[in-house]
Amino acid sequence: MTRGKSTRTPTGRWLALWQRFKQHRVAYAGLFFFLALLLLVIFGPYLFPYELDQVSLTERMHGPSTRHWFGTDELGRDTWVRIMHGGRVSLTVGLMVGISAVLIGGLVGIVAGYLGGVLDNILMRIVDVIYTIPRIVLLLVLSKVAGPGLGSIIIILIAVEWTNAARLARGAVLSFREQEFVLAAQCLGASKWRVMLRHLLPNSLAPLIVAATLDAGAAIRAETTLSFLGLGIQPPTPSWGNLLTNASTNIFIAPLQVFLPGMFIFFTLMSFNLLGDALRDAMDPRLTQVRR
Amino acid sequence: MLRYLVRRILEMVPLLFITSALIYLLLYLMPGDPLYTMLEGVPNLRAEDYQRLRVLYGLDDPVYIQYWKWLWQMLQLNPGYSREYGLPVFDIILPAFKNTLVLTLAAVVIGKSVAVLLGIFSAIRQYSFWDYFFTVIAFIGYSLPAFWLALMMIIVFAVKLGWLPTSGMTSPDVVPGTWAATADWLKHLILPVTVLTISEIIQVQRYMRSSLLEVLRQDYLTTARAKGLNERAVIGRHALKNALIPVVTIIAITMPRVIGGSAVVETVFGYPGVGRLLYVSIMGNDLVVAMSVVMIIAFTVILFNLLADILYGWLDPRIRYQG
Repeated sequence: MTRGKSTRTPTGRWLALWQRFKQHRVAYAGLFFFLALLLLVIFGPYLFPYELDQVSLTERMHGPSTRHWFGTDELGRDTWVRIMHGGRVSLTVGLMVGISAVLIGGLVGIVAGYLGGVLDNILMRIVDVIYTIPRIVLLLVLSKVAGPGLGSIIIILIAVEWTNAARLARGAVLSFREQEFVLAAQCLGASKWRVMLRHLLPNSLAPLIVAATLDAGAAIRAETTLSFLGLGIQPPTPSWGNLLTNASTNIFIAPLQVFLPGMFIFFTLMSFNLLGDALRDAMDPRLTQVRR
Repeated sequence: MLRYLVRRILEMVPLLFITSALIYLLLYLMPGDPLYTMLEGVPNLRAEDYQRLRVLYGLDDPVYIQYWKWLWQMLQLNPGYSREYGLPVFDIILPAFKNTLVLTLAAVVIGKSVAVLLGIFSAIRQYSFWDYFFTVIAFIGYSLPAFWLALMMIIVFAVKLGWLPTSGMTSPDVVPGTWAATADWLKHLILPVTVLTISEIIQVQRYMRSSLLEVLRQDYLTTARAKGLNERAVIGRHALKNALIPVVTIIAITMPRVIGGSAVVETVFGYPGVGRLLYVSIMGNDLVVAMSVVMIIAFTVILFNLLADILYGWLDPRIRYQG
């Protein structure tokens, strides 16, 4: 018998996971980028005394300077402050959607996979239908139906993104359903919900956490795209997407204003993708998932 | 195989049916009066006329009756008239669909071949500098938002360097049907195709790499080397054949992403394809067009999935389909 904690306890498993994650240099880069961005958008706006909508007609379309690090837009509003505020909106969308989509999709997938039958069939046909239409096409339609605004964009993104987690969780549960630990729990008289929540959910967590990370990135990509096209977050609320809409009208005069918000989107997507990839490697190297 | 095919095609029908019902319901819920664009700027419109038109177009019917009527017409390949352009929907969609097909096929052929080549190279020289380099490049390409990449391309190649046109598909000053027109059209394609290609390389590149690495470990390759074949023959004739099989499926599975991506790219570049058409029709409340475009896209995606399954079975004799 081994003394102390066995590696099968949850702490041991998470510790092992953390250790494998730490060995991954790429994972560090992803985590670093993500934390840096988070700190930037939280504290960044306070580095300058400008308000989000503070118009300065004498400083219109200025280039970068010590007064305005990222220059100003066509109304003399400070681009740094606007990008940081936009980042708050875009990151909120990403995190909210990533977490909610995985919670909803994970539960749906576990229930569908464990209970099977008609319910499973109906739920998976719904997933099939959502997969039949390319994401951005479906989102274009949905965003027009739901109307503009932060709340509706979060809801429609969850409505589409939950399907990834549902498929993953269902697949995991199907592979566990016939294993001894589930049988043991059933024999000990555990209820359906107890088997699902206490036994199947913890075992399906690995792919779900990866899905949450990648979904958060996908949500930010979708939100900025929709906002850029004028169907997502609407001005005066800034988002990285609609800052680009505005800047692209002056693309010939001030290309820097187009470059900067995009770089922030790029680094955010990069950090989420790196993080998701590293987590996937740390949790299960065999786990591969194709993004649609 | 034939029985399998028939069964798969029969399975397509309910999927298309449910998809169409869902999209119809969504578009029905879309805010805005569908008569608005039609009646905009009609000065002496009376309330009775407006009511008469609503009855004429069946807008007061319950949604399932409207859907049923639409479905019945659609099955006869008669999706109706665009409210915005006043033309039959097919007259608008078919040229746009042709343009999108050119754009996506070019992007798929170029992008996926580049991806396959990079993947092969990375697998053969695993852990080399170039392996890491290509992986990083593919990762960067995947993380670039397509619409922003499009804007940056416009800034660099159209505005600063002036090599390529900013948007559209044809220049106004070229005579159609000449070589100059074809060259002009290709020039307009370069930027959209590049943007679509760059964001779509990663999936296939990584799949190709891991698939080939897996095959390279197999015993039959040792046999091939042992009987004295050179490395080119070992990889080209023995390894690649098996390694490419799963990649074919991945290419088909990622097709919806390419089609979706083309919708964004078309909108930014003002390229007259179905993606831009969808955007314009949704913005302008042109429900008939939007509905037909979504259905055509869904149909294309389902068709590609079917094609992938058939190709998979054809390429890999180990797989047998049960009817």
